[in-house]
Amino acid sequence: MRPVSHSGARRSEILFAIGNLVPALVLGVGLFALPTRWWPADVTVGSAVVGVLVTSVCAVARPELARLALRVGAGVLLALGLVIVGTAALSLAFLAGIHGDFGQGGVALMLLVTFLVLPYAVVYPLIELRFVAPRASAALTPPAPKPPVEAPSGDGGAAA
Amino acid sequence: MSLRTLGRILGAYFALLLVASWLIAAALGVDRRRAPAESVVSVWSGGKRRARAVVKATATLSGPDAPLGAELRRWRGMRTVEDIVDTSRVLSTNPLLFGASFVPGRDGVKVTLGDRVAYATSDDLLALKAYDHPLVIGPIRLQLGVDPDVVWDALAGELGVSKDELLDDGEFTRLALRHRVPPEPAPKVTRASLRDAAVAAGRYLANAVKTDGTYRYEVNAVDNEEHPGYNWPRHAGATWYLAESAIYAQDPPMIDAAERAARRLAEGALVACGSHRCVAEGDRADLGSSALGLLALSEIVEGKLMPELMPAIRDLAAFIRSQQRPDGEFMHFYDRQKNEPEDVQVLYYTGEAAFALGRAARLTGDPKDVEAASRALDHLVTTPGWYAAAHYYYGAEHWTCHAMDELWERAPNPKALRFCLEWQEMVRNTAIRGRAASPEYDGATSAGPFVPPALVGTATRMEAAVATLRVARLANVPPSQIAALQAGIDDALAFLMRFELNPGPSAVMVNPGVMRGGFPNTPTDLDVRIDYPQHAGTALLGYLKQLEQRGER
Repeated sequence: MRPVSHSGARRSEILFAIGNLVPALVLGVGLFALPTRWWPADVTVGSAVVGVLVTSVCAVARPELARLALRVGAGVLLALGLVIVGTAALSLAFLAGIHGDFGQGGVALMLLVTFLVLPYAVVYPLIELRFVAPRASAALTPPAPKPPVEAPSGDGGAAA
Repeated sequence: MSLRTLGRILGAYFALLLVASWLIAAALGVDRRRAPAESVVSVWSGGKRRARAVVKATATLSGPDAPLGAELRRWRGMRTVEDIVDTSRVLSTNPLLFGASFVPGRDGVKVTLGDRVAYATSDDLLALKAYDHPLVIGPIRLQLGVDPDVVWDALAGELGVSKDELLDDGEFTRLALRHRVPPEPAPKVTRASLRDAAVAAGRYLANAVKTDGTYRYEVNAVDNEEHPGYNWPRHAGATWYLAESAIYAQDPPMIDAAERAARRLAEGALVACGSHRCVAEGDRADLGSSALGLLALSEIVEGKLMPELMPAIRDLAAFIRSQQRPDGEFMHFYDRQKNEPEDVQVLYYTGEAAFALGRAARLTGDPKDVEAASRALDHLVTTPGWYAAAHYYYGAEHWTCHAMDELWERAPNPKALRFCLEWQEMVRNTAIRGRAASPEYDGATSAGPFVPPALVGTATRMEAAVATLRVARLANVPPSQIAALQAGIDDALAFLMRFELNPGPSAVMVNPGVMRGGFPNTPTDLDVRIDYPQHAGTALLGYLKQLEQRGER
């Protein structure tokens, strides 16, 4: 039987793997709900959703690969988030150029859309990456056994 | 990748995005407050452009030396002057991007092909019906600024080249335009302006009544072409307003037209519905036709016209009451084959029935009419306490507030008043404000941030607002709330009057005379259906009557 770590770090890995299901679900449902099929959006978002799901399953099933899988999943999610934010920003810039100030209603709508995307596709993967980053990984690795403490020398340890 | 590296990449990405966004907005933006450098002078006759000249904005535009004077005399036409206040580049000739690159009603296009130049100004684009172009992708309806194909065809025709040649070699520029001649209207809401606008709307409807009593149902103001289709609830609604405005104006041709339309309703559309009579065509009667029919006939009889309609009023009221359920709701259809009601509900009909019964009761004196109307109104404004969305989600059902107003002195319903006040607060707070390209839309009900507002959407809400205002005063609602309500009405009615075809952009119309007083679908889609002037006119005239009664303005 494969050894299962019950450390806090392992629990966090599993929590992130399960947490990844939320943005994957939101993006998947959002993609499915789009009323028309446009292949660039379908392929990009669909691949990202599959990628996040596969890496989450991997993180749960293969503890030794969990950190790497979560890093890949978070990276995919972040990349998709940046593409969405970038596309939205450039579209807004275009519309602002054409229409000028388009009033409170338009601004409120755009802010709402932005704040619906940012938490799932940018903030969350950043937090996840912060957790699973190599440095953090090293810090969380169980400490190597310390060498046995030597017996005090005759000089009272002055040579140490 | 370390976190520090990731942070740097993200920082660079967002910085780049910011710069790119700023560059795009700056390259495409225009300053509409600038003084114009050039003006496009055109001569129009019969809705067609006959001549054009582009002159310095400082050029003299009147007198014998004014540009296109000879053409103006030759065509006995109308001269328009559109100032070019600013220009910007057009990013792409991709149809989607090109179509979205112009503000409807405000922008035009200039194309340069070698040493030749052609212009499609806002008047041209109105005449071409090129604004408000819908791009339909499945169930999504994207509203583009212009229809690219129509614009390209027109410009290619102007330059005598093919569309492909135009797209390959033409250099497109966006023109930010402002009308100088005729000047853009900016009506103030006064008794005089309201009277002019309201009576003009009634007169438009009167002119639209044919000899057989039906209306020219939907007409495009640009080419004066009538669309197919007819709708009896709208016939009845239009007749209601036509009668009200005709009686107010005491205008014989309008009264004659109202009587013709009412007679057509009473003699041509009243049929047996079981033991009653209803307004219907075919085997299925809808409640809305009978309700608005009852409203129209009541208005006429109450105005001391056609007293012979009284039996029809009693019949219609009895039919509507027979469709009511014990809980106050109405069954909205009646199967004339099976002689039984259909307990199906659609938008508007319950409110229309409540309002019509309340109005008819003034003539029938039958307490059953008031009681039925009152129960229906209560049903309309009663929602379960847990349904919080009721305070945030409103439709366009304005008849409820008409019914509340109609019944207030006989069966006051404070819950209905609260509903109407709350709805109006939402209408005010979601109204368009501060669109840089189109400040004249302030106060209108939005149809989306980048598209022109529909006039009828604003008009129906203002009908409700005006009805609410009257009751709010009677009910001693706090003055601050009344002032806010009135301010919203002033803004929205100014918007409606600004775009009434009174005369509107008459240069681009084939026959502006017959369209005078009509209210178009949007500022840039000049289709006029009979219910547009009805709704707008009802709001305008209702407000005018209140101002007259109070001696304001």
